[in-house]
Amino acid sequence: MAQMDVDAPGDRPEGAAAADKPKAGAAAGKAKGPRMEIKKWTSVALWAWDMDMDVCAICRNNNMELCIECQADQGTKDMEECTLAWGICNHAFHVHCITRWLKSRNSCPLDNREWQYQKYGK
Amino acid sequence: MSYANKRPGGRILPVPRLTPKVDPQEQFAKLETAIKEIYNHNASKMLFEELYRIGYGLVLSKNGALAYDGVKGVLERHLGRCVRGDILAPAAAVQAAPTPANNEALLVSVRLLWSEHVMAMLIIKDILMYVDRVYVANAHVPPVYDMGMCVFRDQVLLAPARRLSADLAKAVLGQIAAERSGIEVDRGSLRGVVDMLVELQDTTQSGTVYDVMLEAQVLAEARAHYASTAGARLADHGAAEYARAAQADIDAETGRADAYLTPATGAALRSVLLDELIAKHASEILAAGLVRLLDQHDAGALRVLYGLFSPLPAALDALHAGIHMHILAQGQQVAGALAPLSVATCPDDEAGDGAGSGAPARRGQQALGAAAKTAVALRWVQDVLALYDVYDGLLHSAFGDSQEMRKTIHDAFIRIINDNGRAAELLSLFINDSLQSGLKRKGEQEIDHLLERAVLMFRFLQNKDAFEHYYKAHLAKRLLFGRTLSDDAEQSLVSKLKVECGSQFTLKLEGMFKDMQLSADLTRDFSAAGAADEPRLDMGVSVLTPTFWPALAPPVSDETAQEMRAVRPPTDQLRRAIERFSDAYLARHSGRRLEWQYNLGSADIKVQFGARAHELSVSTYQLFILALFADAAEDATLTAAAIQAQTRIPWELLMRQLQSLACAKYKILTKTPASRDVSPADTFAFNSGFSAPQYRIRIPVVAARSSVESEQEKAASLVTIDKERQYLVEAAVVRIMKARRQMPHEQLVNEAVGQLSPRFLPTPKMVKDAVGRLIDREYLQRSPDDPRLYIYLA
Repeated sequence: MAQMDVDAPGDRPEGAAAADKPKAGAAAGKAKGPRMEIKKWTSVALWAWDMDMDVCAICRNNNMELCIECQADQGTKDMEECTLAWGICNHAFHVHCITRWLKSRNSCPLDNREWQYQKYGK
Repeated sequence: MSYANKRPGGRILPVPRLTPKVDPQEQFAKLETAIKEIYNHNASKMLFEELYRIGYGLVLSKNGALAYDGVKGVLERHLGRCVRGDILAPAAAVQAAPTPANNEALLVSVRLLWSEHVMAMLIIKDILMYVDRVYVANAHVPPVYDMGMCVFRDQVLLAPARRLSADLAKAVLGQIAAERSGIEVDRGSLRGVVDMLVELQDTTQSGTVYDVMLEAQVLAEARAHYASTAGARLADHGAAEYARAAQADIDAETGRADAYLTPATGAALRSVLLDELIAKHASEILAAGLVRLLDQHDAGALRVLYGLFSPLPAALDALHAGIHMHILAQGQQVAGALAPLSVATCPDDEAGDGAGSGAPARRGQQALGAAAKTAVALRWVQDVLALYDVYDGLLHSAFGDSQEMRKTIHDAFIRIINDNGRAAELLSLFINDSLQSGLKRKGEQEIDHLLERAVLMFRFLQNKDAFEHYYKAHLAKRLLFGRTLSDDAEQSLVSKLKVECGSQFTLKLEGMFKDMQLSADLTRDFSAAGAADEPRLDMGVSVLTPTFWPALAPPVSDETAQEMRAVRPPTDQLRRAIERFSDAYLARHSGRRLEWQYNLGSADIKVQFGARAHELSVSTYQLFILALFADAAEDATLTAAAIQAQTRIPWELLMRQLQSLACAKYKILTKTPASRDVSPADTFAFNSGFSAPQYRIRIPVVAARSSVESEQEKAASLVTIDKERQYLVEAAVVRIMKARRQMPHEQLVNEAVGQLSPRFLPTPKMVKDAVGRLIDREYLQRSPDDPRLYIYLA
C-alpha cells in the first residue's frame, strides 16, 4: 500500500491538465466509444432471512444463529438442518423450535392461527 | 550309659582313645612359635597338617580356651611390639609436624603392618579351623579371624595409652588438605589405610572404625575449608566462574572420595559442598549473575548453575523465581516499545483498502503513521517470540528439558502475553502480515514456520475469543480484498487453530471460507448465464453470512448507517446488474434477502481521458460517483450536493470519496474551488486532461484507518467480544443443564467456567446473568423448594 500525500503541491497531472484540456477535448470528443467502461465490478452483499423479526420468537436466539438446542450441541449434529421454517401466516421460526412447539399445539405461536408450512429456508 | 547299665548280660566298653597323652602347654608353645614364624614370612617351611592337629588336639582335650585366648595373647604381644617398633616414631613425627612426608611415612607403616597382619591372620585362621568350628561355636566368641581384627584394632588403633587413631586421622586429613592445595600425595597408601578402617568394626558396633573415627572429620574439614573460600570467591569472580569453580570442587572432592574414601563419603561430601557453596549463597549467586547469563544466553554456565541448584529445593525455587522475574522484566521491556500505540490515534492518510468510510480526515500532529504503527505491533510479536526461542533453547541446552523449568518459562510467557491487553489483536495482525504481504517475500516453509510460532503464542493466550474476533476481522479483509495469497496457508492455519481449540472455535472461520467458495461458484454460474446481456458487465459478488463475518466497515453513527442503507446504484446499467444477480441468487435460495454493501467492493474501470485511456481501480462509491460523469458532456459540472442527491451516499462518506477523486494524487475530477475541504456547493467536473505514467491506476480512498486499532475501535471490539461471550455462556449453561436436568448454582457455575476456560475465563457473574436470561426465557426455573437449585425445562 503506497502512502500518499493529499496536499502535495505542484502535482504534475494538474499542471498538464490545465494546458492540455482544450486540445485533448477537441481531439477525442467524438472519435471514441463510451468514456467509461466497467471491466469488472466486485460487490459485496450480506444475506439475511426474509422476515421481520431478528430473533426466533420461540428460542429467542438470533434467527441467523442456530436454535438454542443446536447451539448447545454444536459440532455434534448436522447444522445444515437447523434452518428456518415459514408458516402460511408468514411467521418464521427455527425448524427445530416450531416442530417442538407443534407437538403441543398446532398453531402459530405468534398469531394463534392454525399452522401450515409455507416454505423452508434454504 | 544309663541305658547300657540296665541291660542284662554283657557290657560294652568305651573305645580307648588313641590320642597320645600330651602336655597342652607344650602343644601351645609350638603353636606360638609357628605364629611368630608366620609373621616372619616363614610359613612356607611349616607343616599345616601338624599345626592343625595341634589346634584340633587342644580343642578335643578341652583346652580350646587355651588355644583361642593364647593365640589372642600372642597376637596382642606381637602387635604391641610392632607398634612400638615401627609406628610410634612416625606417629610422633606426625604429632609434631604433620607435613605430607611425615603423614605419608605413618600411613605407609600402618598400612604395611596391617597388610602383614591380614596375611598372617588368613593363615592362622586356616590353622585354627577346628577351633573356629567347635570352640568358637560353643563359647560364643568371635571367630578367629575376627578376633585377630579386633586385636589389631585395639592394640594398634585404639590402644588408650597411645591414641594412634588420632594421629592416623590427622595424617589422613593432612594428606587430603595437601591434595586440595595442589600437592601430590600417594593415594595408594591412603586407600590402604582407609580400606583398613572400613574393614574394622568399631568397638561400639555402630559402624566401621572409618565411620566413627574419620568420616565426620573429613566432612567437617571440607565444610570448614569451603565455607572460608566461598564468600571471597564469589566476590572475586562472576556467577559463571563461581559456578564452574564450585562444580570443579565438587568433582574433585567426589573424585577423591572415589579414589580413596568411600562412596558414602563421596555423596556426603557432595551435599556438604552444595550446602556450603550453593545453598548458603544461592541468592548472592543469582543476584551476581543470573540476569547476565540469561541475557548472554550462556547455556554452558547456566547448565552448570542448574546442575548445582537442582538438588537443593530452596535454591532451585530461587533459580526458578529468578528466571521467571527476568522473563517478565524482558517482557516489560519489549512491551515498552508498544507505548506509541496508546497515543490517541490520529487519522492519517493510508492507501485505502476499498472500505473507505469513517470519520472525516482531521489533520494534526500524530504519534506514528499507520505503517509505523503496524511495524511496532508486529515487532512486539516477533520480539516476544524471539524471547521465547531463547528460553526454549535454554530449556533444552541448559535446563535438561526439565518439566518444572518448562512450566516456569511458560508461566512467565503466559503472563507477558496476557498482561498485554492488545496481545490478541497484535497476534492476529502478525498472522495477517505473514499471510498477505508476507508470502511474497517468504518461502512456503518460512510461512509455515511463522504460523507454527503464531500458534505457539496463541496457546499462551487466555482470551482466545478476543483473538477470534480480530482474526475474523483480518481474515475478512484478506478474503474480500483478494489479499489472500495462499489458500493452503490460510487453511493450514485454521486447522492448526482447530487442533488447539476444537471445531467450535473455528466454525465461523470455516464459514467465511465457505461463503467465499459458494460466492465464487455463484459468480461463475451467473457470468456464464448472463453472457448474452448488453452491455457486458463482469460482476463478481461475495454473498456473506452475517453471523460468520465481523463488522466490515469502521463504526459510523447510527444515522450514517441508516443512510448507507438507502444508497442505490445511480445508473441503469449498475442497477440492472444488481437486480439480475439478486434474482439469480434468490432463485437458488428461498426465504432469503440480500443487503448490498456498497461501502465495500471495488471495480476496475477503463476511462478515456481525451486521447489517453487509463484503467482505474476504484471503490464502489467511487464507481458510483464516476458513473454520473460517464455520459455527461465534456464540460458538465455537478455540485457536491447534486452528487449526493443522485448517489445518496451519506455526506460524511461522500466527502472523503470526492477528496480521493479530486484532491489526492490522481485528480480524476477537478474541483472548484480547488481547496481540500468539500462543501455542498463545490462543483466537480471530469478531468479529461488527466494523465499519469502508468496505464493502471489504483485510486486510494482517503481513510482514517490504521491496521492497529484506535482506542475507540478497541472499545467497540470489547463490546462485540462481550456480546459473543454472553452467547457462549448461555450455550454452555444450556448444554450442562440439558445433560443434568437439575443442578445447584455453585456446581453449575463451576462447570460452565470449566467448559469455557479454553476460550476465555468467564466471571461467576456472567454465568449468573446468563442463567437469569434463560430463566426469563423459560428454559430454566428455580426449584420451588430450593432457590439455589435450577431445573431444566424444555
